[in-house]
Amino acid sequence: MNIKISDKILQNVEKPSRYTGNEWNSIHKNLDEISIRFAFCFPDVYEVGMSHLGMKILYHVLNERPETYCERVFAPWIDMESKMRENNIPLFTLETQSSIRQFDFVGFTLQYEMSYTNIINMLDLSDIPILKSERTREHPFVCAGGPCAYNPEPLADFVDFFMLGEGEEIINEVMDAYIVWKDADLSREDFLRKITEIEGIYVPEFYVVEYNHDNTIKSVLPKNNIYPEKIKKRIIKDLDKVFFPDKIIVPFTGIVHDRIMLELFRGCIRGCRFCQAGFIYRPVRERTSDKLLELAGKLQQSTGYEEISLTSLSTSDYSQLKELTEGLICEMEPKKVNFSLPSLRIDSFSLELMEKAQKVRKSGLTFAPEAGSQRLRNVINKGVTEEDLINSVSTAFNGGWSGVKLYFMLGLPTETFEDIEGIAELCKKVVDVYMQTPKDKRGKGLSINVSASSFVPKPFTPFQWEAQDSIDVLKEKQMHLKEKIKNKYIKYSWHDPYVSFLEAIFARGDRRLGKVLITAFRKGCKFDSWGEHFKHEKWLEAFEQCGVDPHYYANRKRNYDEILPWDHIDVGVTKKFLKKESEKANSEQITSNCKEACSGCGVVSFDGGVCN
Amino acid sequence: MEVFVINSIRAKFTRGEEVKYISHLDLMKMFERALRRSGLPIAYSKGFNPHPQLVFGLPLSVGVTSEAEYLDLDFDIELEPDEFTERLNKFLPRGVVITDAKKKTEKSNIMASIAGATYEILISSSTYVEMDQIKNILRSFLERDEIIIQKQSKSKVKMVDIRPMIHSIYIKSINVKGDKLHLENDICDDPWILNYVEKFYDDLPENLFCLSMVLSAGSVANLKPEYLVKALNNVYDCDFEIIKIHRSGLLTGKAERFTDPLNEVYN
Repeated sequence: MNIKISDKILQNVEKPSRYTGNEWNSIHKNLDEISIRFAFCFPDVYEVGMSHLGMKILYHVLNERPETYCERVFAPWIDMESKMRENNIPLFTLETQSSIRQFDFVGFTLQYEMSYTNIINMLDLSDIPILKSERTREHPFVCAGGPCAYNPEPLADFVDFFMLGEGEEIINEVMDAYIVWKDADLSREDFLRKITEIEGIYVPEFYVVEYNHDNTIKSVLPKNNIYPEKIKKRIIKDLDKVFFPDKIIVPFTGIVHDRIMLELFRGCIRGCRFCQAGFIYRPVRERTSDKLLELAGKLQQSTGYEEISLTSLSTSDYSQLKELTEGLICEMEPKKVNFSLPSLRIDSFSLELMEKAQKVRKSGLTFAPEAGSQRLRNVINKGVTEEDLINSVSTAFNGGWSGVKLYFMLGLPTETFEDIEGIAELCKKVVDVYMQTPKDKRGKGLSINVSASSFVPKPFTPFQWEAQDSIDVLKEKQMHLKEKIKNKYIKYSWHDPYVSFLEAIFARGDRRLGKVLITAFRKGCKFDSWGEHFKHEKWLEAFEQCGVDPHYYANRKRNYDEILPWDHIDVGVTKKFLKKESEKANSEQITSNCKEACSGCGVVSFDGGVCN
Repeated sequence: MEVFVINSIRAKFTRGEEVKYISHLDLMKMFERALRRSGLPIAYSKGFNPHPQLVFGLPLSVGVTSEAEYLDLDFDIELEPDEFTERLNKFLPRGVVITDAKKKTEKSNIMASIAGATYEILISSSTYVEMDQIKNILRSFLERDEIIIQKQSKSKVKMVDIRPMIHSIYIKSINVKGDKLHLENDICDDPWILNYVEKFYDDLPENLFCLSMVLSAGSVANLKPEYLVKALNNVYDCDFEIIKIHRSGLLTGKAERFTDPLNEVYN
């Protein structure tokens, strides 16, 4: 099962080092001592997958186990895939160049819906039956986890079991159960039945979905009362105690995030109503600054990286930010190691911090007001006022910065053309602030990059019932903003609304989309998140052929009492709370963040984090 | 007046099969990170964005292995070459090994002083051909006064005489199955080529040979083995295909008297 990839192939593909492994800190084990082989698959190219923190953590969690060998697999780029198919080379792991067909587990991480066709393509390339119903004892178990697993239904035909929530503990429990199963002569179903006893495991095969005449869901029920009616996600209660690798793989070739990622905390106190991450990762749990400094020191030493990035959903909310950054500067400056601070709210403290921490040109700072009017910002519960933005921008310009990126969303619930014009006005105010900043203080050459994405309603958010604007309306809004925003300092860009449309379909999809995925894959759809490979026409053909109406999923407003495809999944935040938030959005009321006051979202049932 | 650098080391390293697809830029970055891991007191450049003081020899094309790459390193304090080698080798990925290091006593930097390179290249011919035929071809090739090839640079095509850049070429046979058809001197004994042939034997084409050559290299005159094989094919109507290129040495000094970059006399 060891595959030799000839030089003739590697010499003729883009970036061959994507496929050759051997990076520093990659794990090599003696296969004779291994009883579980796990293929950790990221359904995108190497540079994207290797930037993902969850994969780095779980790779080492699994490899800490002496009997388990976790190896990495990425989607081969188009050029490599065609050479592999031409030469009958199956999908292989980077560590040992093994075909994954005989592995015990093939695990996919689901980071974005637009990677679903790549999952099917990767199974096909591995010569593993795409449909779970066609797999036998000789095939691996195909499992999946990650944020998109919270609505697992569109992938129910392909995935044997899902792991919901944070993976550090559950993945070990599954491996333990597997060892017992492998030694006994039992069926695949026996194993799947056994692991339903583990909290957070969802086996779609064991649940029946029934539909009403109007296509809405009538019920989702376990086939047997031994299976849980609701599957509750897993969280790690104490981040200081959970395993975090003190070494991570250092790639040779530039990846998207080529630095140490130091995870400050999980969850977010903010509760912006459009943001799925803000709800599914609750409750907020921090690592202590002492623990983080210890980790940073170890990781720096074991990788030799020149940069550390402080990662979280909202870095300014980290309660020990001052202690942490002071400690890092003290320890890392002599080693010529920089650190970067993404998702930071801009104030004088943070700007000073950035100057100390980063040796970067003062060109770009990013702000995400998301909406153009205070009214709409209240609707989405984005706790930022125009004054906040103007003050931040003013501080930045006075500190020598000359460029800002501004992120907005179009198509938010209740949005009017007035709100959109508000974006243009806000941008012009930013230009004014720059002009009013003394010339000796501000940087030269003002540039404002305005980026407008299209709103995609996501499960487990207060907007999960909302209709997405039609493509025509989104286009009209984009053009309207383009007209209004004309200014020589402002560069305006927007996302492809066709991709956002597809994302909206799969984000809130159900099991009936499985056949659409296969059909689209057969028509050549893959790498859908890569603009140049996105084939809108093929997708429309696939929906048509399968008799599935895409607008039913994307553009339909749901009733509060409708059974949603993900209702049997429990992320802690209750439907009742989401409904209340949805109503507050409609009446333009804001909700305080978790540190100011508990809003009663329900996640307190997890008995951890900021709630206690 | 220039300051004499004392805390400087020149190191020789390999780039094995495991890492042959890494670009030169990525290899440089890899060394910077390995040095950080090792904690060796590498000197940093002054200025806004300090980076380690490293100078590499001749960049190697992607896909080519080498047992003789060089790099010059400056340190903040004096360091014994043996200690340097031992400590850095613990932090290098598979395929990269420091095989030798010496204190650098001259100011010269490795990049500027490279003048030649030796290569072992594995070729195959699509038609059956005898060793003696190839020997004759090479003899006649080297007897030519000039060998003009087209060299493509960024924007233009120019005609270049590569004859002065070829210092020697020998043909060797590949006897994987232990056949004793040839004189011992004619059999390839380069372990890099032989290991490669062994590993990929089932996938390799027939009529394999190894060309062993010394060519000009560096900033003044540089000839890649690919061009040489192209010229052979053009002039003699052969169809040699390159299967693998391995760099077996880099040379400093002048063509008349090449020297080893670690200051040993070459021939």
